[in-house]
Amino acid sequence: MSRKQKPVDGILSSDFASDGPASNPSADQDAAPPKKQSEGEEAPPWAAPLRDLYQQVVEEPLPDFLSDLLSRLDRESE
Amino acid sequence: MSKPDTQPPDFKHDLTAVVPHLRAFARGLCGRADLADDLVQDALLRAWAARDRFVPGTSIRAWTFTILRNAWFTEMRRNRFRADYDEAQADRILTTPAAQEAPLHLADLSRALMELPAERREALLLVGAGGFSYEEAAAICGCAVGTIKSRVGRGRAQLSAMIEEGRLPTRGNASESSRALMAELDRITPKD
Repeated sequence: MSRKQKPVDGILSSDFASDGPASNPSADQDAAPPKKQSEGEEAPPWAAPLRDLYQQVVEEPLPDFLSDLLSRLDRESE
Repeated sequence: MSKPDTQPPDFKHDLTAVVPHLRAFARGLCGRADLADDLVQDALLRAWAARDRFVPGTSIRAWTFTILRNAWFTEMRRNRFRADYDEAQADRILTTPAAQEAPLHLADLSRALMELPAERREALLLVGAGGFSYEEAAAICGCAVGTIKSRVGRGRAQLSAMIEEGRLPTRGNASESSRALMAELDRITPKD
């Protein structure tokens, strides 16, 4: 079983990068989208580390109990 | 929608391929490697049991992420994660950077993520790390696209403020992070 997966494509899209902060932090349930910022806005400094954080786990070897579970599913399907 | 009588052989292969992504999403959601992998195990078993309901040609990653986040909130409601919460262990996880490139930065960010409300953390993980579109993230979370955009925007603003104002949780105040996590668990766990 391959333990490494393809990196996620388009992890930080320009849409996400250009999506500005909200003006009302207490209204999380409101469906109103946050205010848009200018098109040329740079990604926040944590954007790349957030992807790295995710990708770091993606690239970890699977723990044995999950590999074993997947093997059992294989046997069940035969 | 018609359901296939049997899943094609690709299902198991595709399910296996998304497991690392499920682990990454789960790790980001609950902040603990051990609980995250338990959550992935639950999600895999649920996905396997429900495999006849998966529509070939659709995104198995989005489908399994939905299962996993639903399992997460179910477990939260059952109080299992709270009951298993080990503050000392959480402190180690929250404060111990991996021996990899820029570990402190990632560890700081990991702690900062746990300071966010669960809904914002989930939205940032899906869109900012998992690469899902707003539409896909909304479908996974069972909410409107505008709600996801709002959560991403507010999560983004909150994280940026923590960094800009020097309020990132550090090793020295990890217990504060732990308290924030417990408060969050209290907040999203319904009172019976």
